[in-house]
Amino acid sequence: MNRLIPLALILLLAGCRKDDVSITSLNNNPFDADFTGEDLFVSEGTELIVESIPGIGAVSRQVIRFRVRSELFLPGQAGRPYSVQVEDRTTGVGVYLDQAGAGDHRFTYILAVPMPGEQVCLELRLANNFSEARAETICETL
Amino acid sequence: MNGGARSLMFACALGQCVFGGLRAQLTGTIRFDFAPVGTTRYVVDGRYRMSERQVDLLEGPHRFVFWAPERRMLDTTINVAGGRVIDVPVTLRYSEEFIAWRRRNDRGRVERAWARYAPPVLMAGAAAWAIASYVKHEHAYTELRSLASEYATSVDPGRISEIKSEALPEAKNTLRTTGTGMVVAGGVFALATAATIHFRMRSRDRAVEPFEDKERVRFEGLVWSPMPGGELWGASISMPLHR
Repeated sequence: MNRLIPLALILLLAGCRKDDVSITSLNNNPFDADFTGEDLFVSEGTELIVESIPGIGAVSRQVIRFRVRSELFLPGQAGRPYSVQVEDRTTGVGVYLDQAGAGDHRFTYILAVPMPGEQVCLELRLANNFSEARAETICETL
Repeated sequence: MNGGARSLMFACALGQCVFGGLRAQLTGTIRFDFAPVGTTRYVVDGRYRMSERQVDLLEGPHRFVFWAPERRMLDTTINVAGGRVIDVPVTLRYSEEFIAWRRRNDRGRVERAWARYAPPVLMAGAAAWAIASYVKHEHAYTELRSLASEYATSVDPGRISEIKSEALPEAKNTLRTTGTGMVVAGGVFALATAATIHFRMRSRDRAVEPFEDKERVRFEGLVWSPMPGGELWGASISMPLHR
């Protein structure tokens, strides 16, 4: 029985778990507002498109295309659906853009009134359930 | 009737032959009602050790010393009436030494019982506490790891914020608290185990103190026996052989 005491104590102390999770070091998730990794959004340019609307005729629109760098997603996040919140810094308009399809990380933002020669800046955030991650800004000029 | 009583009757008969002409002596009977029954012994006239409940004696006063184990001696004189039977109740009180010994022993018994049973109960309680603390601690650790893993897979910024600002700090606090509780419970368990071993060993060393019946020694030294070569005072020594 004398040997049981140190043995029990050693077992107990060995069973004492170390707190190995540091909250400040949790910043590698792209959906985290405190994400410290590389830029997630890559602009793919802007262009003018003409739409034909019955009864109205031809209407010009400015399209800004961008891509989400899904390669920065963590392994468990691949294939999970998400949205992108876009805030037009020029007009102050904010919208949520959903993925065109599962695994599609390309998005298109359309300005109703084209702004040729003017720089258009968009504040972009990954989003889900109406909560947003870190903001990044891309700017394009038509 | 034992040898002593027979001698007494013989002495009575001899006295009657020699001095019969002078005065006729009658015998009387004493019937004792002893308390305690069965263990009471007595010495008659300083010579005859007896334990019979009934004795025939020459009329006249006789000195009796009664004794029973653990009881106080009773030294008294009983006047025997010739040709009559008298009933004598004899109640022996416990000796002061026995009362003191019993009190001491009772106290010792309570102390021994506490020393014997309290530490193991405490030890079992501490062991249960230590096990429960360990389980809680493991659960807290699992919860912490699970939250860390949820952080790595979540695509919900709101949930991520909640994990970092509320759930994780709470889980870390729980892990710290349960860890402390586990160490304290382990310490109490170790102390209780050490106390159990200590008291077991001490109670093994401390045997129950035997009762030394001094009244018995005094009683057994009371006998005076007439012998052919002279009289003899009898004495005896009691040795506790069980130790």
